[in-house]
Amino acid sequence: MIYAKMAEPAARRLLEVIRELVDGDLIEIYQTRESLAQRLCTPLNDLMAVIICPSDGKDLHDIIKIGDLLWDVRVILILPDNRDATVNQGHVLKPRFVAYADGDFADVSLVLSNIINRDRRRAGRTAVGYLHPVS
Amino acid sequence: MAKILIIDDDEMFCQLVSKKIKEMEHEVDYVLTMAAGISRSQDESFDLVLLDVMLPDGNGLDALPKIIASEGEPEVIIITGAGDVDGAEIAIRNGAWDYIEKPSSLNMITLPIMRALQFREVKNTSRKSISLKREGIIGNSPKMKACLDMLAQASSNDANVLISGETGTGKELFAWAIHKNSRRADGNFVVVDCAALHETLTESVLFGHIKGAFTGAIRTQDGLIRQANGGTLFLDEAGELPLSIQKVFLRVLQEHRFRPLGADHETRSDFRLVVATNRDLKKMVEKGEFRGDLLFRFQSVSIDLPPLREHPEDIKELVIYHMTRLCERYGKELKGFSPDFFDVLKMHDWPGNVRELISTIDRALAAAQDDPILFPQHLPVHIRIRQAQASLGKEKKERVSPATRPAAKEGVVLPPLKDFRNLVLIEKEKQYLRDLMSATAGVIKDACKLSGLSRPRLYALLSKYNITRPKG
Repeated sequence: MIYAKMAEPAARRLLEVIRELVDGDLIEIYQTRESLAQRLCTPLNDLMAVIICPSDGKDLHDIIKIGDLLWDVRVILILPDNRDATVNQGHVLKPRFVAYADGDFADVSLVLSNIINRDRRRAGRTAVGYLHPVS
Repeated sequence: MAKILIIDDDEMFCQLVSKKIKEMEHEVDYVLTMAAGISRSQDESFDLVLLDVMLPDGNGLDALPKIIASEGEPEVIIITGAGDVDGAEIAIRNGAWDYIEKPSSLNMITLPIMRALQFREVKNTSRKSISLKREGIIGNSPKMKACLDMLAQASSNDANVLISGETGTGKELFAWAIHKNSRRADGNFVVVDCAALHETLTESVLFGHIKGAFTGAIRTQDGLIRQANGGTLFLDEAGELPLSIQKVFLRVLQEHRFRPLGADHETRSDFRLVVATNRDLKKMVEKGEFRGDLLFRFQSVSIDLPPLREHPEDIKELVIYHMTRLCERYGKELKGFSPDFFDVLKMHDWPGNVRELISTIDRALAAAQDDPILFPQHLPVHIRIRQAQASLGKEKKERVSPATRPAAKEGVVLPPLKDFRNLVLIEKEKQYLRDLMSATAGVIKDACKLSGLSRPRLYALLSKYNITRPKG
């Protein structure tokens, strides 16, 4: 799941990187806080990660307001800048990885790849996230 | 003055120890059997129990959980005449305060008693003065309470904490709760997911870098250790930390100073470290995969979270809490539970622990749709099969008397698949109809609506299984 405004160049670069790792069918994109919140209020079966890429500090602040909906979800955060105030705000979401919008996201690709591989290994062991559908 | 109970079949020993304890100005009594000990501990509130292992009516270690969970939640010192390393481990893991051999001198028993009572006094004083923020940690079983006590202690100082436990036991929740209950609650809680980081990234992510330090370092960037200054650094899956990084990190822990990549001077960071792992770091040290000196630094305080199968008494509270949370999130009406819903959940092993339980509740809610009651049939198939197998095993034992039971290969109980399927269907149909009558108070119109059955069909099934409607 990606939260990003696709009009932003960083968002488009990010999506290109993710598409190299994950089938397009398995990627959900949300461009407004309201649509993201609505989605997070529905079952999140097998969700591996939510990549939050706010466009600016205010956008980040707005996402933090729905932070409760992200408490049980793995968050990868792309911060708009590396100022102390922005970084400190970002850590409220307890992200598993933090990158920055002016980067090339090669690091995000490596981290996401590790997460996907780890989840697949765990699913094989415990069937979490790969439960049989209820009949 | 404390109240102490001795459970030991050696009456002379009990009398001698009682005399010693009275000299310490405590109240003391003794019983000679395990059953009497369990009964007394449940009827009265004791501060300390001295429990023998070899009792005439059983092994004292079997009584340990019941005694710890009794009214006074006493500390327990296990006493035995024959030192047993495995027994000591079992005792301590199940909450015993100490494990000692019957001393040749009675004076040797006073020190453990004094220490246990001192510990209890400090614990009770801390409990009164600390209002612990649980931050979503659910459970009041003895095992969870022991972990929460450790959490409270860890929150009161800046010592490094090592939280261990299987996947899905709530290690991050505990780390967060330690942070929120500490003096650093207003600082950053910085997560380092050691398993997600690639080895090439780890150093830069942790320590930061200056512009140009490597290809792609387009600006100077603080690392996570610096970002945790004044707050808490949470190292998750610490067993995945590369050996090369472990060496550098050890120095950071010792001196709270480090050098960002490419920098010519060091930086300081005042952070509090909480570490989590589902791996056995001691074994990794033995294999040379983890540094022993670093492990030593990590475990100033250790919290070992139990797997869910070891505290099934918390399942009901967990289910109710997360079901409520999920219903609020989805904007659904709260649901009730059929009487056997929790019984089925308690039969499962939960290899994925609480995380798996939450996922199961989520799926059950989806399966139930608008049904107001959650039944076992809403649970995933693999959990229901487990319960059906357990029921079949019990029925088979009841049908075959010991005299006629044929010799069978131990451990192999497997009916033909067709029979198994039929039995499962019959059992589950019967149970469903009983639950249906219970949920609708026997009102046929409501039962038809809830079940989707026609009136004639419902009457036929009730007759087939001889199920009567509840009397209104």
